[in-house]
Amino acid sequence: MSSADAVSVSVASSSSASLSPSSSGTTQVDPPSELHAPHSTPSTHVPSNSHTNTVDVVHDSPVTGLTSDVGENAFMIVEGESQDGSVDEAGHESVDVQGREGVMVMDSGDDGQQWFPEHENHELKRVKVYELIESRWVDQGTALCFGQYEDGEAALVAKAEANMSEIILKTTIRSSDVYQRQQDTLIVWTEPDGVDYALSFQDPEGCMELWNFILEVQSLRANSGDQQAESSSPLTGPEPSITTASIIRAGHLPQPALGIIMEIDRAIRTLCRTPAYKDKICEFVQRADYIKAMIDVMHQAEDLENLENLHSLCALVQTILMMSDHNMYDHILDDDRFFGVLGMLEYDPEFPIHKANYRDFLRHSTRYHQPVTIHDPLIQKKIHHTYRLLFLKDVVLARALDDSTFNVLSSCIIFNQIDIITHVQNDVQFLQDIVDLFLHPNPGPPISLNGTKNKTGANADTTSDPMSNGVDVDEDRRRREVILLIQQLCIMGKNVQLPTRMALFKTLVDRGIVHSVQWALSQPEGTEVGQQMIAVAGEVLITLLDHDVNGVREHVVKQCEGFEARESRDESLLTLLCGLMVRSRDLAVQTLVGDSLRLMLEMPPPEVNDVQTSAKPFSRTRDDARMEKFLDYFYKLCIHSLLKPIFDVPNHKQHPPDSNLILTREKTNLYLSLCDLLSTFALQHTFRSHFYMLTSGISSHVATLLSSKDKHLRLAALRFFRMHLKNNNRNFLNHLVKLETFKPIIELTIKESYRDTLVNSSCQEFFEFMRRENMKDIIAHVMTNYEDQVKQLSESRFSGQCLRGFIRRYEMNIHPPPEAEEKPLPSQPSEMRRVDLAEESYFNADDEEDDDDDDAPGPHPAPTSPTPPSPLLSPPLSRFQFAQKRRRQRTPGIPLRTGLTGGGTQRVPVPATPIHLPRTPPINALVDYRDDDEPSSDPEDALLESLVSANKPASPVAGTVITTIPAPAPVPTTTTTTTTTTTTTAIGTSGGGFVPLRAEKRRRAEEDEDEMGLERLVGGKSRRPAKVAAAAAGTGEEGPKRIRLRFGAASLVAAAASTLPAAARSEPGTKDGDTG
Amino acid sequence: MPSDLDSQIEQLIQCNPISEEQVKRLCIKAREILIEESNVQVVDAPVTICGDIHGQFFDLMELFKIGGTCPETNYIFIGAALPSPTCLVPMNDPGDFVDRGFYSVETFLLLLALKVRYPDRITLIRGNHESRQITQVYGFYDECQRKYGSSNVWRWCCEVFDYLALGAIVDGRVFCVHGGLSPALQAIDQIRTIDRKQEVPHDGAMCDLLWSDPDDITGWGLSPRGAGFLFGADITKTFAHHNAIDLIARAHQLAMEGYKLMFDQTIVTVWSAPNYCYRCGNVASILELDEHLVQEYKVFQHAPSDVRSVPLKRPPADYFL
Repeated sequence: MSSADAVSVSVASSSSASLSPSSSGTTQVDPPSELHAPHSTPSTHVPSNSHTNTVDVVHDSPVTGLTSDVGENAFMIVEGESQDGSVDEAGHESVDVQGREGVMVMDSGDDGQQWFPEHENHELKRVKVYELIESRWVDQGTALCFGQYEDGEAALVAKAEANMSEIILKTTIRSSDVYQRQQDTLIVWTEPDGVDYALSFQDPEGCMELWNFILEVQSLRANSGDQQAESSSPLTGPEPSITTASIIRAGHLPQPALGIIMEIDRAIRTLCRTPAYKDKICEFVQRADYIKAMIDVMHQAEDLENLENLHSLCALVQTILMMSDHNMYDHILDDDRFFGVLGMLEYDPEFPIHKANYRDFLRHSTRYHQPVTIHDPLIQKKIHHTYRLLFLKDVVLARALDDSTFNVLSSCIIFNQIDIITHVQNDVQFLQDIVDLFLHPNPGPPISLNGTKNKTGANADTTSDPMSNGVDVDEDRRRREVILLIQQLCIMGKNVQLPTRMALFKTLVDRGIVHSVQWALSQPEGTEVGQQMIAVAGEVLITLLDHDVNGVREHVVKQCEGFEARESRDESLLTLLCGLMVRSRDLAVQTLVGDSLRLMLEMPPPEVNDVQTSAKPFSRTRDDARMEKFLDYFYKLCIHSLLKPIFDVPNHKQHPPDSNLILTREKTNLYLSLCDLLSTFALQHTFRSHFYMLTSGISSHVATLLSSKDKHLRLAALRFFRMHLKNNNRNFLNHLVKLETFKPIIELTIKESYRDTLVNSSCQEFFEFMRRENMKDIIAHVMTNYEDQVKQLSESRFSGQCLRGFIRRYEMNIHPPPEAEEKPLPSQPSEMRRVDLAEESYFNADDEEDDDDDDAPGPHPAPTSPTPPSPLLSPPLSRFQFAQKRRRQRTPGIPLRTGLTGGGTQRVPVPATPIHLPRTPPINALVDYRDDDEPSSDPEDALLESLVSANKPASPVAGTVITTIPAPAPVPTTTTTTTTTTTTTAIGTSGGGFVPLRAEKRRRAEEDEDEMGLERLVGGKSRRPAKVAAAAAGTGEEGPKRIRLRFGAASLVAAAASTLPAAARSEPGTKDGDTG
Repeated sequence: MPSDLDSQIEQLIQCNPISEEQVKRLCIKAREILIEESNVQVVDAPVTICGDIHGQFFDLMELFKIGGTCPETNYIFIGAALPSPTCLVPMNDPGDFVDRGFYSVETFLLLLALKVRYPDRITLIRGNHESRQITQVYGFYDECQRKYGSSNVWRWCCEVFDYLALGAIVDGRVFCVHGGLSPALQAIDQIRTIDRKQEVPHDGAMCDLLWSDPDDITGWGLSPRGAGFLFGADITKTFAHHNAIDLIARAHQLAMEGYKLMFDQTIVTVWSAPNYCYRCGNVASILELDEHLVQEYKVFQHAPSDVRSVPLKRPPADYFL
């Protein structure tokens, strides 16, 4: 009679309020509570009564045994079906009975009676009894009503309120479905004799209780009928024995047992909707070690191979875990419970024919390695727990997880990880042990780094064993394990928040973890183990570089200093990487090493302003002198071996024209990476790379790659030259001219001009850039030397338009239209003018002759509102600086945060006012600005100059022919500017020869524009403050509506994504969400 | 190769990722095909245009059910946003977002495999999510790392992103782009002089094409996304007029009804991720253009959730920390 055991728990007297629901009752805000209020006193004792009933019912499942025990007050409460109401109901009752409940005493319910007060009136439900007589409800009087067991029959009895001995109504409850509950306070039914009765209750919960009684009786009867008829499985207990109400009254869960698990589960699910009960259940489960009891049941069920119960157990355990209680996870993670819990979760009822093998996996497949001892037992425990939590989250519960549970699990994991990381960081011995492992074995003295060496003597015994073979192999295995450990540490580190993360990686680098990376990278590529090591080390290195690139560079510098001191030529990390790059034939290694090298050697020019990327504030400051040293070392000792393969390619003059350079795929990939690296060097290493490239003549070898068979490589080579155009260093461009590298570029352009492909687009862009920037010398060089080819190109279908513009630019350069230069122009902000011109060209856009100047630098021609721009906007930056700045400021889609306001607002496409314009010369100067803005001859100066003063792009205006532009008022409004443009029909758009086509159309458009402008004037003013405010908040928001959505978002990612669900939720259909 | 590829497609349709080595070859092959493509691919009708998929693999299968399988139906995936974000699930605290990876890897690789197998039948257009930075933030990186144990697959996919076309034009009349217009571009032809082989820049024409949104404003406006612009009806109509196009089809924004026509039908947002992030409750749609460019929007629901809708990760068997 296991079912009986399960519920043979009874209320002990008492005021031990351990489970006292009082708080729950009071904190809970339920609308019904008020309704209940008047009735609360009368119902005080009911729960305890019914509790005992519950027990007894279970004891002797047929209804018969009950009467004797209980007498009249047999209230059976709450079935699964009527959960919602019952929860509230139950909740309030529990308030009433507080102090009566509490201690879980295992106790047979026999003496339950002693806790029942004698029958009292106020337990009874006050009702009016109606009878339907000739389609009219006739009031039979006010009565007190209750359910009653009598001679095995359950009955409804209503006694007259005035005279309790007068029975107004007594009827046996029938199992057929004749009873109806209407509204909240009516129960209506038809007697077998055809008479309709109605009970109208004074309050809903009274009605509810009686209604539940009816249901209870009915289901009991149905159940016992079943049992007699089918004699169903002995394990199936009487059906609704465990009810939420019974649990609430008991103040605890019934002891788990075969057959009742499903009901317990159902009851818990119901109860959990009320937070207060959830907390209590969680507490009880842990305090009473309920899980243990469940595990026992599981073992029984497994022995019996009773799947049904196992499935129920799985559901129950899931329900318990889904209660999202932090402590619950701590509770189950202990060894003696965890495997049991996993065991129960193996029998997922959703996959009735499958059984998972979690226990098996955890026992036999997973291995915990400890190549270096972690001495703190608490941390050890956390490591195991974290692994188990991850296993739960990613595997066991993955399908079932809801958001809150996912959240709880994730935060449990993250807290553990932070603890582990903090420990590792602070455990000097641990990191010391790791680094020592890689410092000593190699012949040659250890490299000292930041005091990692001090303790080497102390640890000699662990590492420098005699080089007997076995030990060596053993050592290597241990080292490999340590590498994997470091990898896991890095992965873990990437999960935690930025400050912690930056601190971790900084510590790792400081303690010399790079030594281990270097060891792993030097493993032989031929073996599988070696490959794995290289791959892992590559990932680790990239993580380190991402977080502390300066630290890694510093490490390399120290290595080199060590070599110099010893006059040895050992391999540094950098030389090792270069060697690996050149040597490897594996695409995976090539990409990994290529990326590492790029990260390590990337030197963005010093910040123009102090806006930093999000990671910067926590990273170590860059020591320029050390960086110089680092670069010195690279250019002195590494670059030759790295770029040697490029010199293996014949230079382009030796390379037979019209033949493709055919390379193997591995080589192609290598050259691809090298070209990209070279482009990076060219852009960022200023004089060093220029000097190197000038002296080595590498460019003519790269030029050969333009004719390689592989188109990607052609592109990569083209990018190298394009980068030099961008640098615009006169000396270097002269050098390129001397090497005749423009010849293969033109050849490539011709080759690609027949089809509209990516390479074609890139080639066009190359010429377009020269035209746009008006690189006079180069244009002249190209035109004088390769005029035929260029002419040929200008005829081609796909590149023609672009090249025609190029030729026009050249023609204009040699025969500048005279009137253009002499026109006195007022000192009007060019920014303004650019907008005008861009607008102008905008309306000419589909003219065939018209070139696209609008892609030119300068802000987008997009005057949204003609209100004065925010002060943050000035001074206008050229597109180049613009881009430079912004690149460091933010990521698309990740709105800026506070402190980045400048960047945010600069994006506002508003015509600039003539506030400070230090670097934008007036138009007449722009026409020919190049002459007084020549790069100086010193390469470094030139480069710096070009980086800082990149206002040449000043855009469409540059070089355009401008005839008469009346000076607009200094404060620009769209109206004035547009009228300006209408009058100046002679404004050349781009590439020289202006085309005054479609004047009418333009005018029309401009009139429209006018109106819009006015509108904007009006609308813009009101909008402006919001914009500024939003920008100041760092989100670059537009309207207050969305600002609201954004402000809550705290983290970077959150900010990026917040609009999505928020928008979707808050205003579906109207404003479709930003989908990030 | 085709038969090899066919079996890989078969495997991917089962939502089983292919091996790292296969991914490598697939990416190299895809690169070779994509480099031959124009910045604005010319496509002939009839064709079916699909918006964001966002790694909802089983919904992509629904899409193919509705729209027809790949070689039989021509497809344009605008701005793919293919491998995209896995989902950002808002937690109790609005600032607390958790990334739950789903099937971005399988989704992207399947489309890529189809591209390689039927290069003329399917056009992939770059979306803002096809970028190194975004994929690192939104979880594609983690998903690759998790499914392959290294970041190589991510690196190769990112390399492929750089080669994806920026737009497509159907019969010269329907312009497809992921985000929207750019103030730097008045003519579609201007897009052809962009050197697209690069990480999505933070401003300029290429950025705008992938990031902008239409909005009920006049002219251009600041985008709340921090990249690209908002553009109004006037801009859209002028662009359509000057380029002689009937319709701009774009994606990039959730449309609860699956699609959203704006500005007198000059622009439409097509959204193909039903019940976005498995919680938004939206329907999705695809836009079918027949040979006369008549538009038909086919709306579809999300795939019924089944056992596979949440993938399992295997934890590493060996652990140290």
